[in-house]
Amino acid sequence: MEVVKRGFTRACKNHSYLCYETIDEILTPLCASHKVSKPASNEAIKAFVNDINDSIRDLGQSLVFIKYPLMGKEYLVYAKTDATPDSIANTGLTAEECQYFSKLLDKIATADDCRIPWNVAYNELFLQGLAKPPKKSRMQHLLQKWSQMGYFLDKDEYIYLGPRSLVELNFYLTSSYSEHIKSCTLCKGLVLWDIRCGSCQIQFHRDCIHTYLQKRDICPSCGSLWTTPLRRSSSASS
Amino acid sequence: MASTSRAARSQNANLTQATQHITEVDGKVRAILNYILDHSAEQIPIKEKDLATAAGDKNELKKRLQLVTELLAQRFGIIFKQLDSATKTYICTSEAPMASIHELTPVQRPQITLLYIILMYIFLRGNRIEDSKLYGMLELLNIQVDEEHGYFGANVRKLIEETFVKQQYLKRERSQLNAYDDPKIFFLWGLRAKAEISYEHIVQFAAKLLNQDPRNFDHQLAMAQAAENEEQ
Repeated sequence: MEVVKRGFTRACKNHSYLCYETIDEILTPLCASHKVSKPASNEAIKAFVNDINDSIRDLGQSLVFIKYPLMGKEYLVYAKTDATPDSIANTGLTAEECQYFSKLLDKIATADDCRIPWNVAYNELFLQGLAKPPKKSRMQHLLQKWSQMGYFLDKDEYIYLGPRSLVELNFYLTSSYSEHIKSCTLCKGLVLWDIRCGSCQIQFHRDCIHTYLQKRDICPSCGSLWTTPLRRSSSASS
Repeated sequence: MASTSRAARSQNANLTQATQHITEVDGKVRAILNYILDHSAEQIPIKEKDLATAAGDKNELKKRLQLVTELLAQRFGIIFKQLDSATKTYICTSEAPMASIHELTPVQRPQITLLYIILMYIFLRGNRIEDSKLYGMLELLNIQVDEEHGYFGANVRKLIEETFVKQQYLKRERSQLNAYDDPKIFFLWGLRAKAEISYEHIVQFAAKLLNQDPRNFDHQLAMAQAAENEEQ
């Protein structure tokens, strides 16, 4: 079982972020080849991942489940526990390229709904003031690479923060951009593109407010009657 | 257990001052480990001097290398070893071959497929093949190494001759029979391929690709395994 756990850890690190389907695609042959039984349910998978976490946490690595409303999915993210924008993804990058990452993050974090149109991401204005700015083709290549790693998400002509940014940069985002990026008051986790109160517009995680509303029918923040429907698929700003 | 008499201890301390191995995880251990993990994705050998920078200096690194190596093996199944004492570089390989292609991202899969085709061909031809013959085989599969390929990408030759070689998947050898002949280039399985991909796996791949019974490759399998044992 230990070999399976380690193999799974390496696969998670490789993928950076995985949905349940991918987890299953990896675990099925992996468990079969080492003749152990696969964790059968999502709960069993979470327990399996918890075990792995116990062994890698003290080394600055972790596996975290996060609900990502934009794609309506829950992802397992491989994240370093004390990452900053500077330490991220900077293997072999120039100082200007690292700055591009920070600036992208900054631009998205401060934008409405935390997203920017894709062409803005390649805008030269981004790199004003840099001595040796990367070329446009290089910017495109880097953004694609960072999106594959889960730091950004390219969807419907917009660039959003990806699941890995939300996990690895949770502290950085909520402390540096406290005006724009809030934590859900019910669970203290970062909340983006999720359910808002009809009266005060404060955002909550769908699951958090769902649980809360089973006992009360008011907004936890402003106290007014909760009116926003908790339908299955929600748009970015409901 | 180590001897604990005072005399022995102080003598040991004097003798092993330079290689007093750290056994607890500290900030520097984490820094070295993180450096290795961050760079292992590219699969390119890691330089000792870069590790020394991550650790602070060479001595701090030396004290922790043993622990870092153990941790990588125990917690991640990553084998960290010196590739070459001359160039002082290290590589990370996995303790076991991949159980399925799903362990790779969709972007990585075309590369590994090409690699498998090449490794299979080298394996079938007795573990050493001249570059021109390899490229000839690829042409039969409609893969022109100097042209953009729809599935395998823009620079197939670079992928084979540079990337795969740097990543230690392929080994490149020059051979010159005598001073009058042109030197020839041969490709063999690299260190990483031997560690991460089993011959049996390649046999299964070959059987599927060539629509043959896996047992048809018993001869090549025996040859490869014998060569392996000889090396060890």
